[in-house]
Amino acid sequence: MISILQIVVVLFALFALSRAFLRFKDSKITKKELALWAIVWIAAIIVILIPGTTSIVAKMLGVTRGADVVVYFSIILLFYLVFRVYVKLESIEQEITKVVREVAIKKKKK
Amino acid sequence: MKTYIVVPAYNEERTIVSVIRGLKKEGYDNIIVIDDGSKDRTYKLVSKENVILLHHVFNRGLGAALGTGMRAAIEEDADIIVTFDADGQHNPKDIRRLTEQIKKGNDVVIGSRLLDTKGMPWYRVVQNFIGNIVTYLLFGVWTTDSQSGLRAFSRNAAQKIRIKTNKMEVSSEIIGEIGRNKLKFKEVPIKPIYTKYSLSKGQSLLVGIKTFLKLVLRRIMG
Repeated sequence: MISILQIVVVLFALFALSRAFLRFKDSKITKKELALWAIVWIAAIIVILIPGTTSIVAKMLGVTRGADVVVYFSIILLFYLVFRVYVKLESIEQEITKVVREVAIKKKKK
Repeated sequence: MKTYIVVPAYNEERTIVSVIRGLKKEGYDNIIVIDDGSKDRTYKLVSKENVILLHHVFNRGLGAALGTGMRAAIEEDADIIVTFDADGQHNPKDIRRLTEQIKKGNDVVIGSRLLDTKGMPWYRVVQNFIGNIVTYLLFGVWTTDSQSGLRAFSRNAAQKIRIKTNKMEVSSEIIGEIGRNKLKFKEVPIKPIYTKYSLSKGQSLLVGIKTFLKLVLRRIMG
């Protein structure tokens, strides 16, 4: 028996997956990033359609409940993404500084 | 030996002119002021003084301003580059003690406010000590005043040092660069002039924590 929630989540995952492919085609993301997103969303589809899979992973990792494993992995993923955004932001900051510096040096006033 | 004084300034209309004139009075005519996107009259006031003036379109922070100033000084063929705070806390007479050490063959000389802590408020002493420990743990160079704004660089050192961070973390970053490039480094005592104004310009606890996180990132990312 497939519930409405399952259908919604699967549709969303497929949508997100297609977005990742499109962004890869426009070369906005790298192959590695595409692979990461593909793994995330395909795993989401598997887990939502066959909820039993989480229990198998949970047993392997020594966690009692399957649902907990999903939460743990989600948190790790979020941490990783936040870190990446932080690093990206930092490099953008450095680039802005370079531009501001070039302008300042070009317009030097003696 | 041509000495250039680099003065980063952000919203320093109250002190910048007297700082510039104080430097000139001591015979330092090669002054580079970086107006780091000030919102007050800093740019207007400095443009009336006879100095090299660079203007950051946006405020980019102390590190960015120092980077711009050092690069401009190198382009001006400076032999010695001195960084000097715009808030009036440094005594221009102290510069000579730093440049003398450069002439003796040191690459970087830092004016330490803590070789003699008389007159410094106790919380500042503690704050600076924490800054020193963090700097040591991350970069492996021990200084008594890693956060000092009065520094002198030989031309060679200034060309080697890469400033990547934009804000207050630059002070520790410079120490890190000293270690990385194995530069010859010395500290000399200086006497800061503490006024209510110059004290209000230091780092707050929150800024200190942010600075710490940025430094950790800089250390990891290289």
